[in-house]
Amino acid sequence: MLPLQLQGVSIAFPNPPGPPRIILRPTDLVLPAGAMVGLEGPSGAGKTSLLHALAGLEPVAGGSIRWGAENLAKLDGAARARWRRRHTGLVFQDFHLIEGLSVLDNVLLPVWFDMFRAPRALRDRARALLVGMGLPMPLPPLAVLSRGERQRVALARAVLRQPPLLLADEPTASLDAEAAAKIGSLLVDLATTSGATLIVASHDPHLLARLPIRLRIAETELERLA
Amino acid sequence: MNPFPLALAGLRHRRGTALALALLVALGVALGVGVGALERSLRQGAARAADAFPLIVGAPGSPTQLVLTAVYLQPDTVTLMPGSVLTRLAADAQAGWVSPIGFGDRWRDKPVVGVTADFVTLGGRRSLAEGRVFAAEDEAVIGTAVPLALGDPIVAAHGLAHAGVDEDDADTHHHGDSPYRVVGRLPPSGTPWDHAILVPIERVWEIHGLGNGHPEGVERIGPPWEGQVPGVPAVVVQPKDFPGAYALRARYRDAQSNAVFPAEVLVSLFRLMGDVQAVLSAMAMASAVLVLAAVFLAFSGLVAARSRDFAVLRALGAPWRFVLAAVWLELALVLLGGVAVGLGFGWLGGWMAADALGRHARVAVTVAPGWDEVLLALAVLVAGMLGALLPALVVWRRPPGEALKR
Repeated sequence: MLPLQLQGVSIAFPNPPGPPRIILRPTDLVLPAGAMVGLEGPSGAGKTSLLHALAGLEPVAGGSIRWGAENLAKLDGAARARWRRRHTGLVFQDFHLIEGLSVLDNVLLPVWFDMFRAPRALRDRARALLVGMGLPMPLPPLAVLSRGERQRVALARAVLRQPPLLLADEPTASLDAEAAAKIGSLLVDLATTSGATLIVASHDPHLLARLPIRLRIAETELERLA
Repeated sequence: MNPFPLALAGLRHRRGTALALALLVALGVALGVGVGALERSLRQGAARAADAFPLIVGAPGSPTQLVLTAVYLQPDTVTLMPGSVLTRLAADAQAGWVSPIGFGDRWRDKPVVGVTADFVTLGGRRSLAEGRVFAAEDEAVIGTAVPLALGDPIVAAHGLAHAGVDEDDADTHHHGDSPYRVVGRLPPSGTPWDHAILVPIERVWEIHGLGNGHPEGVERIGPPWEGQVPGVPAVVVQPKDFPGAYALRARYRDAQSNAVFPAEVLVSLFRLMGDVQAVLSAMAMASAVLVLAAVFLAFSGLVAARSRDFAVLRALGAPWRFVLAAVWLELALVLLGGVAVGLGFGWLGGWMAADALGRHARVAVTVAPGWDEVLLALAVLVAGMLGALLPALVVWRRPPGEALKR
């Protein structure tokens, strides 16, 4: 596992015809390997944008994001996609499962980016993850799953290939309290077990309370709370 | 990489839309394929019907009408050629065999046509399906579609177009006193002649009070005709050889008669049909283009509706070729299904239309799948698949972050 090093990272969006809209002024940050980070801040302050930048989904305006020897900020779109595929697992507020695919196939989806057929070991791991998260067997069709169950499927998809960096964007925001607590525990447990660095953007105080490092983004500044 | 599960998931999730789009493609393709297949088969059927008619001699006038009369048994307003021309033809050294074609009667809706025995056997080239050739004036050979058996009597009714014959009776009086007896049956030819009843020409003349073409008191059938020979609508001539055919055609093109090769007439007819077909093809093509345009419009909608899925793929780190392949594959599968079904529909439609038209004209028309239509379908498929790259590229160019943030 490697530390995540941000140096002078700034984020801005083009906003024609005006000047670019600044989301984050140049910021330095070092997160040790296996860090558990909660990212908070008012809506629209740029939590999602920062997560997307860390995942290489969107280029940064300046600075460097280093993961070991690799500088994410210097990579082009295709290389960032490759980096993302190998190093990150993403969890979204709205799960973003693919309708029309079975539950198991949704978990195995990233495998098809590289392989024609998921190897037996990965299929077994996918099933084991789902069972471990309490999904009923045999697996029901995706359409009948509750929101909490859907987020568990999305979680299994994110951790299937044991990425060293786990990024979650409001993973509990669209769930009821019970499901939110369950997902929060699963997320923290999975990261702990695998030793992955976990960064969670959230408003959920219960979830944030379980994360030792706390960051807050507001008015283009990123500050460390704890 | 394996984009199939994703493409199939998209189709499954929106199967109604996918099905409607495939059907739209199928209709466009079917139209083009059907028109092509129909035109080709009609031409082949018409050409085959003329095989038995090397050279036709008739009264001066429209060659097309002459061919319609003799080959397709559709005597409309055929003027008669003087009988002396028939006498000359029968004695011509370059003619192998000759046979007048004389209309007069009918039995039910089957025309009774006066010919010679040589015409029945095509000068010995055609053997009968059963029975034998007529040998007397009251014997008849029937086409394969005439519902009679050997030995049955035929009481012909007067009334099928009998061009030029003076008629003072009512249109359909019965010649109850002059029945024929069936002695033979022709093999199927896929032409209107399958519905004809072939009798000695002498009998047709006699029934109409025109003598029998032979000198007084001579009661045989067949050439030469040395008596008073009535006028005839058309004469089929088998030339002895190739140069003879052209010599005959030249010799009998004068004030009294006109000689035509049916094949030649058909070629000019087909040229006309070709123009019609060009128009039809252009219309079919235009409709195919319109359909494709509509399909791509719908595709764009489909892709827009799935833009979140594609953004998710990219967030999960899918390489661009995977996203491209998944989008393209989904559209390509719809196109492939539509084109395949359209090809089948087109052939089926062409076959049904050809069958109906052929039944009407009593010409056997068979629509066989041809490479032309396969090529057309492939062209649509390739154009569509290339076009399907566009929505796929649009998906790639859209930044994934936007679709994920809602």
